[in-house]
Amino acid sequence: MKKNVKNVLIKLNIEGQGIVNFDSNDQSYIWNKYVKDNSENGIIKSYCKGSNIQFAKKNWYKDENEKLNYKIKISSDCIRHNLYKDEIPFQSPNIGYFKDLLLNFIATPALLTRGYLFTEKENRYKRSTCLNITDAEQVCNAESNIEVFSRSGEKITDEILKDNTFFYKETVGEIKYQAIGNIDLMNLQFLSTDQVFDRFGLNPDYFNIYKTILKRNLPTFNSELGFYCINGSSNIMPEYGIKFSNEDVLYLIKYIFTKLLSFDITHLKSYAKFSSLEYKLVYDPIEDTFNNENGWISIKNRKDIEDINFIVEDFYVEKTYEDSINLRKKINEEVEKIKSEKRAEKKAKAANNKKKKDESNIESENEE
Amino acid sequence: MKYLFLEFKNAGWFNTSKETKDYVFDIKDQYQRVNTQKFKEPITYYQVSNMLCVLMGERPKPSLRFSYIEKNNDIINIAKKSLIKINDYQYEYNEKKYVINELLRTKKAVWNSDDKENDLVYWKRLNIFLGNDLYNSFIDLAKVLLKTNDIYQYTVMECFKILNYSEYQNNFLMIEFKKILKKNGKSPVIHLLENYSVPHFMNKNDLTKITTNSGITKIIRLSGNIAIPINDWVINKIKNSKGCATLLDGGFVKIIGIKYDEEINSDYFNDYKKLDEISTELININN
Repeated sequence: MKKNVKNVLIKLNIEGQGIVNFDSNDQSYIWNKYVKDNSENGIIKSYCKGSNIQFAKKNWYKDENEKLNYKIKISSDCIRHNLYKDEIPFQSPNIGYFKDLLLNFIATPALLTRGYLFTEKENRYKRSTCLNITDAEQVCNAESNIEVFSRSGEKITDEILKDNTFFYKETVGEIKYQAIGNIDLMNLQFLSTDQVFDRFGLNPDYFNIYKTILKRNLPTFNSELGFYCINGSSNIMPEYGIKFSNEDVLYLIKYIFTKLLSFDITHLKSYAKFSSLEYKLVYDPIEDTFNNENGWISIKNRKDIEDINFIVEDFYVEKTYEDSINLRKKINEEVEKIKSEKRAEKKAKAANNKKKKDESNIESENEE
Repeated sequence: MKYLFLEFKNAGWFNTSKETKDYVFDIKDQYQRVNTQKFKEPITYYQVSNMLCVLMGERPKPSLRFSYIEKNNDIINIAKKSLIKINDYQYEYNEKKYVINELLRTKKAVWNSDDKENDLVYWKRLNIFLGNDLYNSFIDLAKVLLKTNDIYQYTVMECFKILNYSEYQNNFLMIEFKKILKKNGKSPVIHLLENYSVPHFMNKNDLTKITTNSGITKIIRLSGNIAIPINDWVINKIKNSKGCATLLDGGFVKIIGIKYDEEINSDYFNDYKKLDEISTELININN
């Protein structure tokens, strides 16, 4: 029997030239430590002094002799920003104050897959991303170094001074990176419209407008609001929300793959772009892991993405309105019971304290 | 005994403190960030039990925020018995200890989210601030005082600079206009006319304030391994669930596989620490 897919693992290979993701110059301390550690090994790199320096982002490692080494990386935040830069060029929290604009913004595949957070007082919308991806770490033996650059400035005529500046910058030649990640299908399959589990993604009162807008961006969408429980979970409290159909989830997965396929960071003097992408469908989370070499499928072009077709695991089970409301009533009654008990306990304690205080006051008056 | 081996990468730990006036929120209320707390250690059994909950298809319970979700004691007990190895995130240089951190560009900085120092005013911003009627009155006044039909030949700041001269300030039309401004609660413009500097109040007004939508902060990235003692119940739960989870901020958790006691060398766990031995002490967010 063919099982349903529970998770999608991905391996993204990136190639490029030069540094595309820079770090703060606080790194100079660890860089100097690295130079000091490795000077005996014949690796000659310059120490850096001062703050006029641009370092690449790195992962640092220690060998068995506590000597430092590094691998250049592109941070996962940088990757995600560049994946979605066409749809989300910048984040403006002010959108949260204008309902129509906000709904137009969140009812898109980009926001559904990337996630969002709006902290407007009445509608605090929150959805976590379904695309988990690590930093893309260097996988080749390219060596970076610190170079000196100059920037021309205006000459101030009355003085001998010129506004020219020298600065240091880390550079590297051709470089390859690899990032791993996964697409969380459970997260992708559901949009919560309930505050009960702290992931209120949409005000259910706006569902009709939301649906109309989303249908334009996600043609297969035809879901309705309902109460859902996680299949097999011990927490049986139903959550009000939208469950996306298999077609919707496949559409969104294809959307993510299309984004990964067109991944490109281009700066003035450096670039990093998509090289290859492999994915693996997880039927059994313990067997189908990154360490298992079987089952990886490569994506080379859009045709490969269009051919993707599988059945996603049903992570959510629908509950009837009556069952859900009855259960909620029961839970609320229990909570109220505990609360009233605590309140009574607190009241009794306060009364007891007051009584003790009064008694001690009377005693002190009598002594006087 | 069986162990499930996990590897985590890029788990983001925010450990820098900043003076801030902003609020954090949960489903119940909002609180000032300065009054909230954080764990002293980066990863305790609370974080690992929540990660396990997600891995096993259960609801995680926030450790510090209010939530209606009940904690799952079975999973917490498994997390307490688990072992963890966090790769060293500190280094020593010139006999001082430093933390390996990196710069992170945030969408909205925790501190200084409203740009109070912005001193750029342009005609449209002034229009929004004053409203159409008052704005048109101001344009008419400026046209009369500066004896021109095309007031837009000046930038708004140039116009204010010229109107700053005492001959214009003492003009009775200007004095009357200032009274109207004061009556309508637009005194920042009076301040601008008299002192030629943009008062903070203009940057606090709901219509003209500018929110800083980008900032930077520092983050420590942790990586390491976790070994979880498991039984058949845990294996079944993981097999029937989604099989992926995250740790701290965006930390990617990878399943390595299951190993039996016999396959593990006796000194394998020397670098590991038992999670219930890691302190769960809470400290103020600014410590």
